Amino acid sequence: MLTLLSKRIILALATLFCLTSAARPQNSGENAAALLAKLACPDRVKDVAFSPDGKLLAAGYGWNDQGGARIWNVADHAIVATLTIGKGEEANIERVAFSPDGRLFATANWNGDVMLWTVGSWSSHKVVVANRGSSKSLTFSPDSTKIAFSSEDAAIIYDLRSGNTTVLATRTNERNSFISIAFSPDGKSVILFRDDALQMWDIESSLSRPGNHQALVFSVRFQQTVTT
Amino acid sequence: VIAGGGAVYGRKSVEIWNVRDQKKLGDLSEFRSGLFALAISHSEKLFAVGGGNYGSGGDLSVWSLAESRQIGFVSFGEFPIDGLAFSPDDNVLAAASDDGFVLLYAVDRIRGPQVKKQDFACAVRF
Repeated sequence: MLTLLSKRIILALATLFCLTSAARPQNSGENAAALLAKLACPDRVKDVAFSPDGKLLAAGYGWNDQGGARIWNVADHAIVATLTIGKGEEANIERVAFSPDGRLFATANWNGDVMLWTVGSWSSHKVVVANRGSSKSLTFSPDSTKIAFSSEDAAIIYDLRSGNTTVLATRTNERNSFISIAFSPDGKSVILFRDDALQMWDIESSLSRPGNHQALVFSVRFQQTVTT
Repeated sequence: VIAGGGAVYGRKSVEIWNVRDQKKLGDLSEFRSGLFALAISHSEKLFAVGGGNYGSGGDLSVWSLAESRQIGFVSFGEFPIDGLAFSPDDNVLAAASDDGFVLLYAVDRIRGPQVKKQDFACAVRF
């Protein structure tokens, strides 16, 4: 015979189950059909990128210090390469990107190290940014000559031709982690999303005169209240 | 020029901005769970947002960029979606799952309930 407490626990569990089921939309058969493939990684997958020709797919993974990057052939889902560098947290890859010309592949890890790899050989890598805080965003310029990288601590442009690194901005308080960065389609500016603002930077001005506030084209600060 | 815009903790929205004149084009609100990824298709017709909650699954929704209208929603596994990418021909959407998979979806087959489950955007894309 069930005690009152047992009944209450069962009732609570049943209620919780019903609430969970109701709150959680079920996939229709239509959406099950939408899933083409599941490609396995050794750890939690944090980012994905297609090569510009669509033939390769890359993933960055890592959470339980089993991190790395994996490349597949899109056509047959065969693994082309598995890239691992370092041990522990530094092996965990947060962001991946292909250059638009298809020649380079970049990874960014938990420590804020950005590494460049040659597509095809995958055999060697070059560290171009080191230890700049937990990686948030990584992208190549449209002409494949620069990398924009943002992390918890800084927003950085790396010039692949000169090897110069330009720090656009650094963290000044707890809130302004550099969550995302993107090049404009013409490659002349980058847009940067800090925790509560969008900022646009003119690349040429920023690179020639780092720290020059004129390089900041605009800043949009999000309101904390919902407007209608 | 279009930027898919992010919002902040507590704001529960995705914002779409025209960068050229700095005007907001769309504001999608009332999202309910975390959002960790955003991608705009190469055709600039669609965008996708991914996220979810730890323990209750990864959520992925696809939207019409011009109309800010949700086209489809997919939920997968136990953990959130952390990254998204459209294939160059926009036929396939790849999603990075904390369950340890890359999920490949046929974009034109993603339909389903009109549910907004994500919370805050944390990405900008042109």
